[in-house]
Amino acid sequence: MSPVPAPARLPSRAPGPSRTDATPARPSTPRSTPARPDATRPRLRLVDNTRLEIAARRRRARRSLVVAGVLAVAALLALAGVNAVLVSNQVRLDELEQQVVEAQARHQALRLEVATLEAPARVVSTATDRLGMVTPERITYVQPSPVDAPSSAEGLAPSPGSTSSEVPVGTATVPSWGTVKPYLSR
Amino acid sequence: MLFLAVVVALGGVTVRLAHLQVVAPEAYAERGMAQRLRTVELPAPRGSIFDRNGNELAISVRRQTVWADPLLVEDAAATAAALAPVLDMDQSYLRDRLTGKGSRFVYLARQIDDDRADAVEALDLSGIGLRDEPRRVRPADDLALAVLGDVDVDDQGLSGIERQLDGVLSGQPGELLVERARDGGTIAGGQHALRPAARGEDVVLHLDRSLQYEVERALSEQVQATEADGGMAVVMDPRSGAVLAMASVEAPGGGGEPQPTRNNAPLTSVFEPGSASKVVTMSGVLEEGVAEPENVMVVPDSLQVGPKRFTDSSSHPTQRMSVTEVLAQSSNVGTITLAQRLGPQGVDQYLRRFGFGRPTGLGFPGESAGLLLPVDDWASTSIGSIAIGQGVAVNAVQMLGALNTLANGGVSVPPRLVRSVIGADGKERPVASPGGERVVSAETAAEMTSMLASAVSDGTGVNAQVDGYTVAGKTGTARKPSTEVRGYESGAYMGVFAGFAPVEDPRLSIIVALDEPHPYYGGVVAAPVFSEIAEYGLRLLGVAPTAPLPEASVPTSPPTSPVTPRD
Repeated sequence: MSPVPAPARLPSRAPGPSRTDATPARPSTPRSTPARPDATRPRLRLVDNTRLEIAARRRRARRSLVVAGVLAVAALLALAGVNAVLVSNQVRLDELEQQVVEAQARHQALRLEVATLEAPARVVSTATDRLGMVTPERITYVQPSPVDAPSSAEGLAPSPGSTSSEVPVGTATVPSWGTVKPYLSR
Repeated sequence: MLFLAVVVALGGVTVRLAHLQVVAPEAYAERGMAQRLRTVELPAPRGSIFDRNGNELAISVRRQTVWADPLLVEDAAATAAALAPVLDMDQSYLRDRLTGKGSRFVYLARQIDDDRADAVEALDLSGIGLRDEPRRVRPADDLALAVLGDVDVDDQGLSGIERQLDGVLSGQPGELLVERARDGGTIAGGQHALRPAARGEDVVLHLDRSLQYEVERALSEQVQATEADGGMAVVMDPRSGAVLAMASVEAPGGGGEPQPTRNNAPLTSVFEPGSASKVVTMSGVLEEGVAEPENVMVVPDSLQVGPKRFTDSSSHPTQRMSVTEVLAQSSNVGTITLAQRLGPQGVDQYLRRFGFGRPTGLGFPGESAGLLLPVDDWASTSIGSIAIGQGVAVNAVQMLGALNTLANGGVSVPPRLVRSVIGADGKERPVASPGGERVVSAETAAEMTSMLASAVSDGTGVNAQVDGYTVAGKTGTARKPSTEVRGYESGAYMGVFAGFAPVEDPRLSIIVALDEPHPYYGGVVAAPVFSEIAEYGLRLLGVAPTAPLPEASVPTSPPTSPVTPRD
C-alpha cells in the first residue's frame, strides 16, 4: 500500500474551489471589513486554477485508492471466511452423504429381513414346528342366528351376497411409496 | 557472500517459476487435475417386484464382491491360503487367479454375505479389494420362482418377469465427476459434474403371496400323494383376468418332495385338454342353436367316426341323456354327436374364438401359443377327436381363459400378470390391458355356467365342491402324446380340472393339471386340489358363502373319502 498523505485523512475539510473563495477577504462581505486592520492583510496573489484542480484530483485519487485497498482487504478476508465455511460445509456434506448411503443400505437390509421373516413358508413352519399349531381339518363358520342377527351381528359377519371383504385385496400396496421413493433413487 | 547466495537462490526459484508457469503450464495442470479428479460410479439399483399387497417377491440388496489386482499381490500363495477358508474356495484356484497376468482386476468371489466380507477386510491383504455389487434376492425363496424368473450375476434378467420387464426393472447407472483431496474428502468448489443414476422401476404383480404359497403347497402335496411327475395350477380373477397365483412343480426323480420348476409351465408348456375342452364345443352347440341344455338325446355306448370308434370312459347301454347330462357326465359319444351337428367349421371357429391356438397376450418369455390344426387339414376322424379335446394343445392359461369367458358372461377376459409399475417418483402407473370381446351371448354363458355347476354338483366334478360355495367346472383326462412315435404314450395321462366359484358371482377361477398321476382321472386327482385352493382363496378374498353351510359348526366327522367318478 502506498503511503497516504496527511491531508487526505481529513475529509471533513471542504476541498476545492469553496476554500479559494473563502481565503481572500473580499470587500463584498461588509461585516468583516471593519474588524480587520488593513496593515495585517497579506498580499493578494492570483491562484493558479489548474494547479488547484490537479491537487484536488490527486487527493481524490488517493482517497479512492485507500477505499479500494480497504475493500480489497475486506474482500480477501471475506473470501477466506467464505472458503472456510465452504470447506467445513463440504466436509459436513460428505459426512451426510455417507450417512445417507449407510442409511439406505440399512433400510435395504431391514426390508430384506422383514420380507424374509414374513415369507409364508417361514410363518407356516414357525407356527407348526415351534408354536405347535395345526391346520384345521375343516373350516368352521359361525353364523349368527336369525333372531339376534339385526342387533348384534352387524359388523361381525358379512351379509350373504355382499362382496365386502375384511382383507381388502389389492388396495394395500404401500401407500407411502410416493413419499419414500424419491429419496431412494440415488 | 550471503547476499550472493540469496540472489542465486531467488534466481533459481524465478527460473523454476517461469518454467512452471510459462513454458509448459498445461502439462502440470493436467497432472494435478488427474490426481484430484475422481469418477465415482453411482449404482442404479434394480427395481423390486411386489405382489398385489406390496410384499416383496424379489429385491436387490448390496453385497460385497472380492476382487484382486494381481500386480499388487505380494505373495500369491500366502494370500490364497489366507482367503481360501474365509471364502470357502479352492486354494489352488485362488492362487491361479492371483497370479494372472495381463489384468489388473480379477474377480475372486462375487456378492458374498457381509460376515465373510468383514472377514476378508480384517485380513488386510495387499492387492485384495472389496466393492459393492447388487444381488437379487427372493425373500420367500422359491415362491413363484417360475413366474418371477432369474437374473444373472450381472443383474440382467434371464427368465420370467425379470426378463420380460428387464427394461423397466433395470436402472441407468449414473456418474459423479468430482475433485477429491488426499484424504478422500471432496474439494469444496472444485470441479463437479453429476449424471444422476436412474433407479430401476418397481413392478407390482397381480399375484397374491399367501395364495401362491397355498397353491404351491396344495399342488406339491397332491403330486406327491398321487406319485405324479409334476403339476401346475393357475388362479385368476375371472372378471379382471388378474392372475392371482401361478405355480408349477415337478417331482424329483426317485421320489421326495416336489420342487417348484424354473420353467413357468402354465404358459410355456402345452397339453391336450381332453374333456375340459368340451366346454368350448358345448358353448358352440348352444350358441349356434344346435341344441338346448334340456334337450334329450339318445347316447349309444360307442360312435363310429371315419375309421375310428369313440367310446365313453366306461361302457354303458344305449341311454337317454339331456345335453346338460352329456356335459356333466362328460360323455364323449354325446359330445361328438352334437359336434357333428355343429360341423368342423363351427367347432374350429369356437376353439379359436375362445382363444385356443393364439398367444394369451401376456407376452411372457417362452410362452407357447398351443396347437390348433387348420380345419382344412382335418382328417375324417378329427371332428370326433378335436370335439373332445384330443389333437388340440393348449397351455393352462388358455384353458382357464375359456372358463373365464363363461364366468364373465360370454366376454373374453385377457389375462393380466403385471398390475402396475412404480416409477422413481413413487407414482404407481397401472399397466394397460386390452379389453375383452364377446365370444358367446350372455344367455349361452349363463346356460353353460349352470351346466358346469351340475357337472360339479352331480357329475364328474363332485370332488371340486367347496363347503358353503357353489362351484362350476369341468374335469378333463387326456392321454399324453408320445414324444417318440405318432400317437399316444401308453398309460400316460394328464388329470385336469378347471372351474370357477361362486357360480352366482364368480370371484375365482382355477385350473389344476397333474402330469401322470395315479389314478389319472382329473375328477379324482385334480378336482380335490381345486376344492382346497378355492376354499382358501375365497376366504382370503373375503367372499361370503353363497350356499347353505354344512350342518356341523363343530367338526364332527372326518372328511368323506373322495368319490371316484369316471371322466
